[in-house]
Amino acid sequence: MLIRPETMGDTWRPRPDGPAKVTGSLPYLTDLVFPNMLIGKVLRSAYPHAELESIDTDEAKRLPGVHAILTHEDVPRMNRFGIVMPDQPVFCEDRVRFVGDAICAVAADTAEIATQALRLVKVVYRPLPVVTNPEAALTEDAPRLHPNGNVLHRAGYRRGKAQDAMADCSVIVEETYETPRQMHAYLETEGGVVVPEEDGSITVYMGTQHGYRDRQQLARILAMPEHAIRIVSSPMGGSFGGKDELNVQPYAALLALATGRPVKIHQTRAESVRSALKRHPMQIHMRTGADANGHILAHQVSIVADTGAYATLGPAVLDFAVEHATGPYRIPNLEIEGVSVFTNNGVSGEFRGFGGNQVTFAVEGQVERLAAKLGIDPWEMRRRNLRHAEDLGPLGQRIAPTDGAAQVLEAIRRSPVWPAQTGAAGPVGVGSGADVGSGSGATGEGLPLGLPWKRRGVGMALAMHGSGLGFGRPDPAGGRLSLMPNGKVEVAFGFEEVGQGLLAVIEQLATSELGCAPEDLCIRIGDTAVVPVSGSTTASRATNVVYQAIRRMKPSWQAEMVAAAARLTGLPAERLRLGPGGVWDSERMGADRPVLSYRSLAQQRSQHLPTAEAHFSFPTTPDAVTGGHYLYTFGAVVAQVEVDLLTGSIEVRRLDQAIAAGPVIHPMGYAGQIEGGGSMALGFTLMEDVPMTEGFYEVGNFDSYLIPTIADVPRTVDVDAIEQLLPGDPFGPRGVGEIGTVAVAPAIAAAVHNACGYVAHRLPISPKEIVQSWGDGTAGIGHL
Amino acid sequence: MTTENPLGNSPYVWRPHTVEEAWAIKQRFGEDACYVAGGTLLQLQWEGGAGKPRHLISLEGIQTLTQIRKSADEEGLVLDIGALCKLGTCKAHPLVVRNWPLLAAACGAVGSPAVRNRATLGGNVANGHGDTLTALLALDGELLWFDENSRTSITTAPVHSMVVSADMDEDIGQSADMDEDIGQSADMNGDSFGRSADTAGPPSPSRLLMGVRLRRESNAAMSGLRHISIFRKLGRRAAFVPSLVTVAASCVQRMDENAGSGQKNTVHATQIDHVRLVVGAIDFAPRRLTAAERLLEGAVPSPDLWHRLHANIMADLNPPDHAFASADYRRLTAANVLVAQLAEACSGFVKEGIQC
Ligand SMILES: Cc1cc2nc3c(=O)[nH]c(=O)nc-3n(C[C@H](O)[C@H](O)[C@H](O)COP(=O)(O)OP(=O)(O)OC[C@H]3O[C@@H](n4cnc5c(N)ncnc54)[C@H](O)[C@@H]3O)c2cc1C
Repeated sequence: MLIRPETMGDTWRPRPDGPAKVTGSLPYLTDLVFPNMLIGKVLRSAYPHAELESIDTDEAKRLPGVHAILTHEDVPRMNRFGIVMPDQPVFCEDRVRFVGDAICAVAADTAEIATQALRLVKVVYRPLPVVTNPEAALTEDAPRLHPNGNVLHRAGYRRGKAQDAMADCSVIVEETYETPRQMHAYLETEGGVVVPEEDGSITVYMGTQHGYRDRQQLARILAMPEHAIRIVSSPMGGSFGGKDELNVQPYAALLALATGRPVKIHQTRAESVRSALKRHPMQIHMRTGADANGHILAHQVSIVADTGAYATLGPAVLDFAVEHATGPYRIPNLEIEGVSVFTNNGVSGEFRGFGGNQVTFAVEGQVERLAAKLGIDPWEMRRRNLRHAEDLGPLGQRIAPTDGAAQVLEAIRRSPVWPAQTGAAGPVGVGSGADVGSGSGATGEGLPLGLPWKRRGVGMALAMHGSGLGFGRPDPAGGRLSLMPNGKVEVAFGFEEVGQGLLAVIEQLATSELGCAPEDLCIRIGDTAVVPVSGSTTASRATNVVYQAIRRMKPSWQAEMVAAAARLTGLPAERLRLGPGGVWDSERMGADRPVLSYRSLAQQRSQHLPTAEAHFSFPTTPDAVTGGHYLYTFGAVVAQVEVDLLTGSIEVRRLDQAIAAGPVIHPMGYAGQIEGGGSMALGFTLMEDVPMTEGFYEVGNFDSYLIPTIADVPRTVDVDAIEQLLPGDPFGPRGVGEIGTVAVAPAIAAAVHNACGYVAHRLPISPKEIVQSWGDGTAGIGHL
Repeated sequence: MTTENPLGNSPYVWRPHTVEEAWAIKQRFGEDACYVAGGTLLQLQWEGGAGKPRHLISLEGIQTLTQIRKSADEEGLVLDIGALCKLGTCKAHPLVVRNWPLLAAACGAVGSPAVRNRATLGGNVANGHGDTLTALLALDGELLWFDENSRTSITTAPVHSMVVSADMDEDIGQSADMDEDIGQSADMNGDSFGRSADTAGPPSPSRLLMGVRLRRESNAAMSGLRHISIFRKLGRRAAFVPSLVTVAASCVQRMDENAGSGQKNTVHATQIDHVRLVVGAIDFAPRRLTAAERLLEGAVPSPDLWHRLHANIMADLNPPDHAFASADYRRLTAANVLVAQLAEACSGFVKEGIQC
């Protein structure tokens, strides 16, 4: 089903928080102001790797307007944080490992005073040799960044005998792929306010993707019981994984406790670039062999991830990359190994796609190269190797049966620019004949002006993407449904609205499942004081959890509501059902109002209002495969590009995606995730990277770190949502937060190849390499 | 512009209503004062750590500087664009769009719509490395300066006086041998707009840019000729981007009387004149490619001519390395774009107008 406003009927409606966001009237947590509030700032390391000899804050403390300056000596309990293994210092004691490491933090009357105070802090460093890349980190004589050395994590998977099977292959392709250090580039930088409450507790108004986990981590640092910490974490101006880990919460909390006053920290963009997580740059070596019919027989993969200075979710990202390194293909002989390595390059961590984007660029690149070598159509090549509905998962684990791979492959063929639709021929290389003046391109859309230096091409790619945290990782889920005394139906989840459209999903599911109207609802999220445990707002899991929870809570809650209404109205319970505004008599549905409004029900009942809770775990594979997933979504992308041979610049004219993720809950939100994900991935493919030199960032802000603007994204994006699940599938809608980002890079790379013959193995694709890929770089004027 | 109060005391803002007043305030405070027009570049520089001056002289209240005035003499059309004109206004002004599409394109290539709604043409020119300078250089624009220390208060100077050292021959087109590196005094690593170092600025620190003057030949003089102009700014994305290479070209071409029947908008290759070829970027001030201009002047387009032009530019242009584009890539793309787009335009696909 193509998601188009015209065909969606009345489900095509804006999200509840849409108007306030678009008009700018919605207050974010970083907009909050409290009486007596101080401003906090954090001093970050001047060096990427150094010993800390001394920290002298005396002079800074004396600056008028300064209320507190804290160092590691002021951390009450554990001076560390990190979701998987807490190895990152809140404040460094004796050593810094990246330029974002925190030395001290100040609270002052104004941001200017805080900044000036930090200038007055005297820190003596003894610079150490910098570990600039993973290869260097793995050598014998590399400085050891952590007690156990520089290897954060190793992961791998084997099946059959890949090395031996290579001998049976007619073609083998071998390539090393490199992917960039992408920045999340959320519009709202990290921050918010921490307020000390009268009872000794604190309230943390700061964005995160898992309020309860922040609470747990903060409790360890602050030596406070978890219940004395309240986390208010919605709404947020974007996260994309970047605010999953703690960022400035500990500093604001410590400063608020030290001063007894609310403390606000809101990082500037430059501070954010310096301290925040990035996507893992990966170097991925693949050697893949196929028989003459195009069946892939063997696949050898070696992944090296630059995880930067600290762990955060680095181990899980590597596990995910290993798991997804085979794509949605049946490959009998596999040898995959990966290593995630500490360096002094920032900190890499969780980022939309979670390692899948990197390996998908590589594995799809291999499929393209094999197809080209064998002279097999790229679509057909994929069809021949595609997994079947009942196949085991990529790590040999049992998964929820799914036909998604075949569904998206079939659907993406219908993209109007795919050659199956246009009847156009295969690749047109630049060297291919004198007629380079074919501005009309391979796919016949035609340029208004036939510019001889422009070439069009199309390319495709597939992806398979697991949701949930994976086997062996606690993945609790749940929700709560209750009638409130004011007659509103409270739907509560421990999730955060990070821009993904969660409120619309909850509203849509609650109204369609329960029968009530949007106005009847009171949606509660992002506040540990009032929401149940639902797990993290990550891993494309929230939509599915909301669906499952509401389905679980609905029968008992509805029954309780109806029974209460039956007692109050005297009507038999069988005749009553929930509807907009209240409980309706099913024999008089034409009436202009319910027989009992929710408000009257609540008022007359006054005590023991109907409530239901759900507690369950996100579906996981029954097989003990660490990190192995159970629910998967699939995506297929067709990209059409126009390459300018004069400059090597690439214009993406079209980015169509077919997605198999179960039923569409909120069409506008679904399309938004896929289109937005596509744009984010377009940036990953064509322009985004944070280069580092000797551990220092080469970019400091959005004037040099470039993300796509509206002028870079294609005018036309078709999103084809395949809703059909296999018969009997009980799991409902899967999330689509990540899948739209995963297969975009390889599709664009294939399209560039198709347009001009240049084969990219490194992202972002270099225009310079495109131009220089034909001798002297003058292909663009070759027609003269 | 040296004093900075760390505790954030804002500069004092003066709001003069006339250029004379503005100039006098600047005279009075010298280094401690700075003109501000849209403030977009200054803001960027402050954000990048540059010190704020004690006094800001806002030019926004000087009404005369916001006007666009057309006049005509027997030589042709003259347009005076006030320095305070917003780039967005300039970009869309009918007279500019019709007669100097090159400038309209250059204005449209600066920043984003929001930036263009505040940023002024004067601010773009006066800072010495704005995108519009590349276009103005190709259009033989003139600058109108106010400086009471000079004999006449208002002086005109060719645009290239902004970008070459003051002691250079006034008429660049005529000077035979030019130093290769003219106008390339640059911040080699500059990438963002705010970071760029001082290029050759106006000689008198107090002088105030009143506007830009453009001329266009009369219709009579242009009969049988057509204007060709090219503007292209290359960056790492499609819009709102610092320039890695910006090229501007302008020339006139004789139209062949016999051509065109049946084939719409087509003329035969004929002689080209008044050639201006300019290359600039965020980190190097625009310069004319005079040797390449001489090669084209009076020539009739042919494949051979275009290939010689390419070779000429490759030999002549020496852009610096840039964090995101090597010198050789910048040289190559400048040559490719100029040659391909000029050849295309001169071959007659585009009857009149601009290629971007
Ligand atoms: C986000 C962003 C993107 C940008 N992108 C581009 C771009 O793509 N291309 C580009 O060229 N620039 C770009 N800029 C830089 C800048 O916005 C432009 O150069 C703009 O035209 C400057 O005009 P302004 O009126 O804002 O100048 P201001 O900031 O007010 O002044 C700039 C300088 O010129 C001086 N000045 C201003 N007017 C006069 C005058 N009449 N007489 C004498 N001196 C004067 C000021 O003293 C100051 O030194 C960008 C800036 C930002 C913030």
